[in-house]
Amino acid sequence: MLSPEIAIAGVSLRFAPPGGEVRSHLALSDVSFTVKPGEFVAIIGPSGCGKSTLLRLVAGLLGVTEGDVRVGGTKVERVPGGIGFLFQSDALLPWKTALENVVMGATLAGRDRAEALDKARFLLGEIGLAKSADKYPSELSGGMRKRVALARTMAYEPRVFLLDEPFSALDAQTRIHVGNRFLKILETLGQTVIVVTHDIDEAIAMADRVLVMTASPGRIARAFDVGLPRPRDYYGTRFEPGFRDLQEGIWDILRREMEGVLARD
Amino acid sequence: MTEGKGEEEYDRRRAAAVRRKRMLFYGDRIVACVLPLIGWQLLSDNWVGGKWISSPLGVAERLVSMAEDGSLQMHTWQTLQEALLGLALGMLLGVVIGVVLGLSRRLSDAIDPIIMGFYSLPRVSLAPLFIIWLGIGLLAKVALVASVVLFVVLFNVREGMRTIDRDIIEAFRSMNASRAAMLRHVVIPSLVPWIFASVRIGIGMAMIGAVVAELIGSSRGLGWYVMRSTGTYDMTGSITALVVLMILAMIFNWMLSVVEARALRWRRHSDVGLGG
Repeated sequence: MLSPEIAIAGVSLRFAPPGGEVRSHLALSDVSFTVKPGEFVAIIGPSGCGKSTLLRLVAGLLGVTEGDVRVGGTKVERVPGGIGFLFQSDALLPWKTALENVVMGATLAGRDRAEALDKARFLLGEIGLAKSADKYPSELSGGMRKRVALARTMAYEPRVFLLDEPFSALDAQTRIHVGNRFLKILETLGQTVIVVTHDIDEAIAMADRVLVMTASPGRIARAFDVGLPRPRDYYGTRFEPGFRDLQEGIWDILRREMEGVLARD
Repeated sequence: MTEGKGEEEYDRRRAAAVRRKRMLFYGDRIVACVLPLIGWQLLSDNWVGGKWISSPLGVAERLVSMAEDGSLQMHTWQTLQEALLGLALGMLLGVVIGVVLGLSRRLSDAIDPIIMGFYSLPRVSLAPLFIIWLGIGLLAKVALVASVVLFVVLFNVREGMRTIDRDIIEAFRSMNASRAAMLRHVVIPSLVPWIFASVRIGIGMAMIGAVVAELIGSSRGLGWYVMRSTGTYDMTGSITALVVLMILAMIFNWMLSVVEARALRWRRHSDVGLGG
């Protein structure tokens, strides 16, 4: 058995709200799970359950209150190397062209200028944006910016990809188009991926395993293995046999969690 | 074929329309400049008298004679040096202090009252002190101009530091960017629009600072020339110096617009470069 790439054991996180209020907020409560090398895991949960926070813990952008997070066997205390984090917003530098933004990823991975340029040109070709290399982010559509952000992350050559609601800002058709490209590329790379989403279909279509979280404070309610064959299609996978059962099973948990939240409000 | 021809025809007409519009614009600008000058000349010749308001022709003559004896260049150069060196020094200090305060909330909170105190102090009142400390020459003027410009830059930069896109910062942190890389690729470029905004205001303030400093104590410069001329009821002299000051400010603003439009060309809905 392979040792896990990511191991999260008994993690809790408490936020002290700003402004010096006494009562703190428990965002995550005793979360444990592991991700095997090369595994594609989706985390889904009601909004505010702390799923994005969980990604930030893995990336070392936040520290845990209790428990520990390990990436590649090493305890995360600072930002570990080899993590590719894709944000809900594209987080591109608006003053750099698409090409220079991708070059940034390679440069931060320690490549020299010539290598970084070659790599960036190649990756822009891979994501179908070779012609837009010299455009600024403000001249690109939302879907194109997303793809540039993916190329930048790929240029950083991470061992682990963390995607925080990567397609939530895109309209339905663009989401299918961009989602499909992402899926193809990530399947080809075969790296470890955690994607956080609130879209059940997306979670099943992309992942090998779907972790469903409870409402705040977030815990893992249940894990679903997605046994569907690869390579998959972002849209077409929903017509595979077995998809509906997973959909129903996940929705059943989410619905109960959301009813709980609504009752509290 | 016909389609191609239609397109050409359309492009040609549009180019002609754009040219016409531009000519019209320059025409308007020229009229807007010349009409007041004619009015001024008439007023001076027929009603008020050149003794009080001089006249455009008088000013033009004075400009020529001052250029011939070199005094125009000498006074302009003096004021220019004061304003530009002061602006540069104020910008430098403002950016550095602004970045430091933006990085440390604690320090910023601690010294905020002191900064507000100095900011509220009319900096002009420091001029006599600067003259005593630094003499009647260039240095005192540069110091006064810098003290005027400093705060605009400081406040702009500090605000700019606080509005840097958090996602971009986290993206760079997650890629293990060093502090230096963060500063160079994220922080400084984020501040550029804010710095341009403060230069735009700073230019006017630098001119005020330089002229006021000259009024208080100097032996040359356009501000000094205004005061000396007024002292001898030489209205043509003081208005000539004012005209030169005005032209300098206009040239600076125009230059700034050009540089700004280039530096900020990544902004799509650019509100820069439209005159200045």
